[in-house]
Amino acid sequence: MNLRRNKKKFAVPMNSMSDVAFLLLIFIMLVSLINYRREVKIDYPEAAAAQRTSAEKNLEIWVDKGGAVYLDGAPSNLNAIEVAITDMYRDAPDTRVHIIADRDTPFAEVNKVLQVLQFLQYRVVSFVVKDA
Amino acid sequence: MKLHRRTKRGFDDTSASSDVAFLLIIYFIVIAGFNVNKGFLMNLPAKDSTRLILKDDLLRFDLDGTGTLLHQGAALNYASAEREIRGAVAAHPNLAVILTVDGRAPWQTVVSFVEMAQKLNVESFSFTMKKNDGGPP
Repeated sequence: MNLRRNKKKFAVPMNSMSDVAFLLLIFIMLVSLINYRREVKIDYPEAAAAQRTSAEKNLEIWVDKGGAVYLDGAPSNLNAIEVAITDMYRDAPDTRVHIIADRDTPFAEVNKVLQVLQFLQYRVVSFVVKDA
Repeated sequence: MKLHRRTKRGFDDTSASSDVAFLLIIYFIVIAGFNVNKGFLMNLPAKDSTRLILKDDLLRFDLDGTGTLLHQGAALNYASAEREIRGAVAAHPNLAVILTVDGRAPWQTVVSFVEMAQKLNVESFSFTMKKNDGGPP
């Protein structure tokens, strides 16, 4: 007597795939927040004729109202900025430097950063503003 | 009576996958818009570089500690300065505008002047900090 054994078909339950996709979506969103740009709380200067100045690679130097300097959102000083720009220029010469200063920052504080850039022969700089 | 059993469709056959893809696209477009800086590109002069400019091609402005714009010692607003520069550019196409800034002047006033210089397509524009700064305003 031949006994036919029923072969069980292996199948992945497709109903759970939408849940997996949704979890993936949440995961990607959370991971992208890790690389999120750190901002310093400042009042941006305003201008009507501002153009987009972001490049593929950017280095942001922030100067707050009191003259404190930040590098990519982290507290820093002029010496550290000098080293960072030198390293950055060696690794990626096409990196663009953005100077983001508070609208009420005394010019002397911004000028200190500009002097560092001039000393390093770093020519093209972007002054970041907000649309008026 | 025959009952037709519905065949279960997979994730890739349903509309859910296109919804997820669409949400992903929207999310990344929104995120990309957050990291865009707007502003003015400036070419900084080389340190200790000198350039010869004819006296007639030179137009000087000053910004004092309060952010007031001065031309030949007299205060003027940005509209008047714009007219002044326009007239000078018409007379001298190789015009060089120099802004001397007091160290206490607010950054916004410098940015406003830079904006004006860029708008008027000034051939040569530079700004420098006033020396011997630190005295009473």
